[in-house]
Parts: sequence; C-alpha cells; structure tokens
Amino acid sequence: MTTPIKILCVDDDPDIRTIAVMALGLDPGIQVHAASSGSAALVVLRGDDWRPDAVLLDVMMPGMDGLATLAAIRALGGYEDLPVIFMTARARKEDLDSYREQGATGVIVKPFDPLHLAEDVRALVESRR
Amino acid sequence: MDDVLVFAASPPRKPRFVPFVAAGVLGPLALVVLALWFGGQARQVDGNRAIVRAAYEKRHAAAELLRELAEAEAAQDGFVITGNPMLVGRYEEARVKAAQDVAQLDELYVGHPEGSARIAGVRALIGVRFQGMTEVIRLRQQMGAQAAVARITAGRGLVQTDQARAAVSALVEAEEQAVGARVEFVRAHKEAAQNFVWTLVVLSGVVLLLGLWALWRGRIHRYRVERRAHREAARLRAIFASTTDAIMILDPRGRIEAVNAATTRMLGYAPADLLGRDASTLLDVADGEGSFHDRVGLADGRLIHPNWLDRTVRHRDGSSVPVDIALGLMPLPGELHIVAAIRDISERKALERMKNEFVATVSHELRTPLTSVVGSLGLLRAGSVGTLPAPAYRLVEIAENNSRRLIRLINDILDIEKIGSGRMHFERQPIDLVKTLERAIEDSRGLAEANGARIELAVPKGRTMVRGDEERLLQVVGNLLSNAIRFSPEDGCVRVVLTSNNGQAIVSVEDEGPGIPPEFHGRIFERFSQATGGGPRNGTGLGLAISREIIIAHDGRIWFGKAENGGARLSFALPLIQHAMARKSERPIRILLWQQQAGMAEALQAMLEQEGWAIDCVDTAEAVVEGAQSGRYHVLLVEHAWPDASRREMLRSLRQEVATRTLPMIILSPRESEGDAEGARGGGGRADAAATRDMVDWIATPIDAARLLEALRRAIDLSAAVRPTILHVDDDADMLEVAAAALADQGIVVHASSLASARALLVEQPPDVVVLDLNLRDGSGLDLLPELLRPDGTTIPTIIYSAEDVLPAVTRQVDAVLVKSRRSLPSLARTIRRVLASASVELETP
Repeated sequence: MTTPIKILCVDDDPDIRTIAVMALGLDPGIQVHAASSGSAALVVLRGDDWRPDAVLLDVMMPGMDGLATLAAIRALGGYEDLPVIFMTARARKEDLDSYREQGATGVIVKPFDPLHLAEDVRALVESRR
Repeated sequence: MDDVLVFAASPPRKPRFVPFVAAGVLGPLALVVLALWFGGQARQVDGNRAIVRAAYEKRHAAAELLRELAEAEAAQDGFVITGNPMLVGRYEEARVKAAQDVAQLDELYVGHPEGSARIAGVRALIGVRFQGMTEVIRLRQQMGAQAAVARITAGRGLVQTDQARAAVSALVEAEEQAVGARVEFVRAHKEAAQNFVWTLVVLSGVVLLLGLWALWRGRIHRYRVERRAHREAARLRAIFASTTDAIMILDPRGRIEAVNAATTRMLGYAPADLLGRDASTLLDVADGEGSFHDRVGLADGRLIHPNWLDRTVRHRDGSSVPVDIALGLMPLPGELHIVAAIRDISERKALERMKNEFVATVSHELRTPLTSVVGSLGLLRAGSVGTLPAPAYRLVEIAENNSRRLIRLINDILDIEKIGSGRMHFERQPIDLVKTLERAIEDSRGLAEANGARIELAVPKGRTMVRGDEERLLQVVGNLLSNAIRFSPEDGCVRVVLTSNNGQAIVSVEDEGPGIPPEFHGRIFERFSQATGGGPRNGTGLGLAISREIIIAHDGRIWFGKAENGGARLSFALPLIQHAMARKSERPIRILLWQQQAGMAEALQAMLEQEGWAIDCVDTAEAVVEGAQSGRYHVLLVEHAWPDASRREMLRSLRQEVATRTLPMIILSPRESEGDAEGARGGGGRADAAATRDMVDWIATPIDAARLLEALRRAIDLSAAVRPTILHVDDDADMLEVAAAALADQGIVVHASSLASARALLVEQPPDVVVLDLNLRDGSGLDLLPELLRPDGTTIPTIIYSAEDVLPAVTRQVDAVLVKSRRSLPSLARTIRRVLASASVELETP
C-alpha cells in the first residue's frame, strides 16, 4: 500500500475537475492528475513520465467524447487493460449498460458524493488488479 | 334524422310470400264468380226474349183463329145466300186453318196447364160452332136456302161465335197479363242489376285508387330508403376516403378487398397494386402458419387481440413505417371480413424519442451544475480546506442538504416520468431480502445519524428469497426509511421487521413519530402529496408513489398502518420464491464438473461433500451436453475453458438451448477477467443477454473456497428459482411418491391428492406444468382444466396422466395424454421436458 494509486481525471468542466481532484485527494493513497479533454488525456498517456493506474473519464465532452477517448486509449498500445471509469450524469439504465458494453470498467454517476468518490474509485481499481 | 349517421341495427327483412299468394288466389276467384253471374244474367235475358216471342205468337195465332172463324162465317153466309159452291171451298179452307191455329195454340201452351185448359175450351167452342156451320151448309145443299136460313135463325150460331170469341179474347187477355207481369219483373230486375253494376264500378274504382296509392307509397318508401342508403354510403365513402388512417378491408383469406386513399399514401402503392394482395405481405400482423382467421386470433366470432400496437408496415420503397393496427370484424352475409385501421405513429415515435432525449438531456444539464454545488459543499463541510467556523458549517450543511434534496427531486421526477411512460424496466432475479434490508439500512445510516435516530432490524434466520430488481427494492426500502427517520423524534427508533407468511415476504418499517394524520390516509401514495402540519417538509412527495409502482411491478402490495406505539408503519409484501436449500431432502444437490486436468474433482470433492452436495466429473464436451440436458444437475462447473473456441461455442450454445439455458454455470478461470464469463454470456439478443447474465459466474483460480461456496449457493438458489414447478394431482399416494422420484430431475414436484388441495396450490404457487389424474376423491380432474391458468391468464401446460379413457374433445384441450402406469414414468418425464420446451416457457424473469 506504500505505492499510491495513480488516477488521471478527465473532465471538460473545470469546476468538476477541481472537485474531483480535491475529493480524490482526500485519500492520501491516491495521486491525481487532471486533464481537460480527451486529447489532453492522450498526451499524458503517451508520455512515459507518469503512467496512471486508472482513468476517471467524463463521457460528455466537446470534441472527443469519453467513448472516443476510451477507444483511443485502447488503441495506444500498452493500455489494453487500463481500468477506465466513466463519469456521467446520463444515468439511464440503457446508458449504463451501453458504457459497460463499450469497455468501461465502471461508471460513477454524477452528481457523485465527494466524500465517497475516492473510496468508490479505489474499489473499482482494486477489483481489477 | 338524416343529419345523424344511422347504422341499421339489423339487416332488411325479406317481404312475406303468403299475402301475395292469397291475393293471387282470391282475385281470380272473385272474377270467376263475377263472370258466372253475368252468364246467368245473359241467360235470363234470352229466357225473357223467348217468353215475349211466345206471347206474340200466341196472340197472333189467336187473332188468326178469330179471323178464320169470321172468314168461315162469311163463307157460310155467302153460300146460304148465293149457293155459290166456291164459297163452300172457302169455308172448308177457313175451317182447316182454324183447326191448324188451334193446334198451334195448343202447341204454344204445352207445359202451361191453365193455358191448355183454356185452349181445350176454345177448341170445344170452335168445334161446336164449325159443327153448326157445317150443318147449315149441308142443309143449303140438300134442302135449299129456306131450310138453311131457318136453321141459322133457329140455331145459336151467333151466340156460339160470341162465346168462342170471348174465350179467345180471355186467352189473349191472360197472355197479355202474363207478359205485363213479366215485363214488370224484368224492369224491377234490371234496376237491381244496374245498382249492382254501379256498386261494382264504384268498388273497383276504390280498389284501383287504393292499389295506386299503395304503389305510390311503396315507390316513395323505396326512394327514401335508397336515398338514405345513398347518403350513408356517400358519408361512409367520404369518411373512408378522407380519414388519415389507412383502412383496408380484408376478405376471409386475408386478401385486400378495398383500401382508402390514406392506404395508398402510407404504402406508396396504387390501389390496383394492393387489391387482391395477401395483407400479411405488407402488415406486421398475421404472419405464420394456419388460416388467416387463426393468425389474427379470431375465435368464437370475436377477435382476441383487436389492437396490434407498435407494428410496422412495409412501404413500396422497402422502408418500414411504425404503426398501430386496430382490427375489426365486418360480418357480411355468409362471410366474415376484417377491417384493418392502420395508424401511422412515426410522429408519435419521433416525439417519444424527442421527449426521452429531452428528459435525459435536462437531467444531465441539471445534474452537472449540481455535481459542482454538492461536491464543493461536501468538501467544504468535510474540512478539506480547513475547519469552518460553526455558523458557516451550519450554513454549508443547509446548502448541501438542500442540494441533495434537489438531486433526489430530479431523480424522483425522472422515475415518475419513466413509470408514467411505462419505461421503467426491472431486472428481476433471485435476491435475499435480508441482504437488501441490510444494504438499505447501511445507506440510510448517515441520514439517521444526522436526525439522531436509530435503526433496528429484525429478520428471520436464513435467507428470504424473492425475485426482484435489487436496486429498485433498495430504493423502496430507502424511501420508507427516509420517511421514518424524518418523522422520528430525537433519539427515536426506526424498526425494520422482515417476516414471511403464506408464501409472502413482508417488510415493515415503523417509526415512533406522530403517525399518519387521518386526513392524509386517502392520498398517501399519490404523487406530490405530503402530510401537512407537524412533520418535516424536506421530502419530494414522490417517494411513496414511486415505491408503490415498484412494488406493484414486483407483483407485491404496499400499505400503511399504525405501529403499537402510535407511530407510522409502512409495509410491503412480495411473493417468496422456492428455496433450494430448504428442499435439499427432496432432491440431492448435484454438481457437474467439466475438468480439463485430472485432480480438480478430488480437490473439490471433500469441500462439496461437507455441504452434502454430490459432484460428477466429465471430460468430454458430449458428456457435458448430455449431463446438462438430463436436468439432473443444479450447477455446471467449468474448469478454464478458454481460449479454446470450440469449447466456448459449445458453452454458448448451452446458454441458448431451451433445455439447458436455465442451468447456472460457474467458470473457474486463472485470469480474473470477466471477459471469460462475457464470452459464455454472449450471443442472442440484448434481452437474452440480460436474462442469462446472472446464469454465468466466474471464480478466479487458485480457488478461494469461501468464494466458490458462495457462488455455488447463489447458483443453486438460481437453479431452484428457474427450475420449473410440476404440480402432480393424483389421489394414489404410492403413485405420487414414485412419480416424485421419477420426475425430480425435471423440476420441483408439488403434490395434490384432491381437487381442493390442487386449487389451493394453484393460487399459492402457480406451477409451470400440471400432471393431472382424472379420477379423484372429490371429483373429476376435468373440472380443474378451466382453472389451470397462470396469474396472467394464460393456460398452464397440462398432461393428463390417468388410467381412464380420455375423449378426443378433452385431448385437444391438453398438451399430452398418457396412460398411467409405472412403466410409463420415463415417458412422462420425456413428455414434461417436451411440453416445457415447446411451450418455450420463459422460466427466467422477463
């Protein structure tokens, strides 16, 4: 447990990005980086200096949305098994099913509880280890 | 009257034949009688004419007679005076003619005795007179004129002549009187006849007028009827032509007989291309085998499903148009036609899509800012940016609570919208209510602590299995708990009690609050209804309405009452499902293991035997399929089957076969990846995937014994939940026992030894198939046939298993008939499998 879990948080809304980073920061065992778009996330993932253990990814983003970003991540090479957790406010059952079908490790429904976000993300990531 | 479209309730009546026959017979009869009467009249006229002629001849003959008498007297006198013999000749001639006249008169009065008597008198007088004159002539010839004159003077010649004349005159007079009387009679008769003819003429005129009037009336009536028919037809034609729904009239073979303009618009075909065409080539109804009437569900002269919603019709260009189709019967003489009214629902569908999209978008747009609000407040309150001063903390808390309330409200509104539009879907599967209650209490603990309330839970030992959507049931319990907590006094206790009774699991949530005000009783489950006065008002007012809908969708019921301490008590009941573990004694748990490497079975054996479970080990795909199809096993355990594609394919086909899809499967895989399980789940449509998702589980190797046991327990529960229930009705206890053993592999066998107990079981636990003996203590098994219905009204497949002969009419009502004997038990087991498979009983929850 000495090595922290590294999470890349991707959301176009700066407010939510801030809150997510702060909420994840409540868990000292989690290290967070934030990206403001899918392409920004890909830049981080392509680099070698910081390899995340999981990506927390907003679905509805302008330009490259969460699903497109996920596909791009899987195509990068070396990230086929990287847990990708979707964040979405579209929480209809059919939406959730379709996200899982398209390869999401888990879904966190907005509005999330900032006090439990770290706990939920950690549980999803650890179940995949 | 004409302004309203009137449909004749009954068809027109055919005119009656009898009056026409009567008129046809009586009319000519009257004419014949009339002709006969006129014939009689004509004959009478002829008679009269004969009488008149006879009277004339008689008078003529009488006058001739008197003339001949005078002639004879003149000849006699002349001869006496002159002695001219030529005068004797004249006398003789007159005498002969007079005799002839008398003979003629005699002849004319034949048949008239009075007349004949008078003639006899005349003849005698004439005879005497001629005798006297003949005597005078003889005296003149023989003795001269003197003697003759003397004889004339002495004789009574003149007197005799007067007598004869008087007699003849009397005769003529009598005759004249008779003719006069006759004339009088004829005149009188003529008047009567004239009156009669006039009457006849007047009557005929009246009849003619009546006939013409009736003819006119009939003609006018026919005109009115035709005009009305024409107007009605015109109206119907106008409606038919102008309605925006496509309307087709189909003949008894399902071919299109008539279409309206909307049909051609909707389908893109010209009417000529549609007429005579089989409707099922265009409409998404009445596909398949059998006659058209069978396919549209026509039975006993009525349509079982008159409305076919959410169908499609094929446009000429190959596209599909979404439609609702309403079928109606059109009984024409001798044939039953069907009217199909087809409504284009593309726009409605588009609107529905837009509405769903709108609701989803709005909820998204509302939630996104709320995420920031709640998140910020939560972090503030948690002290992640430093400890807040107490008043600030309180304000942040208020803001956070209300933001959360707003989120709940959005969620509830979305739920209500889903319920309203029938789009709330439930993934029902066997769940343990005890665990659900524990989770719900855990979720509500924060709220309880914030309100200073405690939650106590009382549950029975073991598990309480129901079939339900756990998330939705959590929502219900959460709603009840949230209400109870909000109405609890400080340090109050909220009690959650789970009991089971009569096949039902009952959950009650009680609080120590003021109870439900009586004026609120009537609308407690209505939307946006909150009790006024007293209680806190931070609920959404939708929780109980949503809870009620969820519970009803789970075939349960929800109600409220009063707790013993005066608080409110809200309860709901859900039907229990059979618990496999409780039925262990009836059917030993058997597990089928497909092993890839030796030794696995031995490793598991000891562990499973402790649980009292048996394990059979096979190593070929054929043996696995055979074992799965036998119905003997509760679970199939597969040792790491991937990545061999053929094995994966075989497992996938097991999931899809009706006979084996209900066998739960656990995959032992070295890699902890759901991909393996997904592989086995794959195939079939999405609904299928949802139904089978829970039938496949995976366990990582090396095996964690506790996890495997838990997975097996869950699989065995599932197996019990999806195993068919067989209701065997027979009053022979031995047969019930033997059959139970023989059928144990096919499903859960439930016994009834009488009609009464069978009826009770049908209500308590509707079976998937019924095996029915006919000869029962309290009546015939046939009495039960109409009652063999599932709660949704469909017929439960039934097999008659009896020693009695069964009539063909009964055979048609059931799925199979077998003759009862111990030797036929294996074939009964096969028949049950066949009936269940062919009924394609969806044993999984839809």
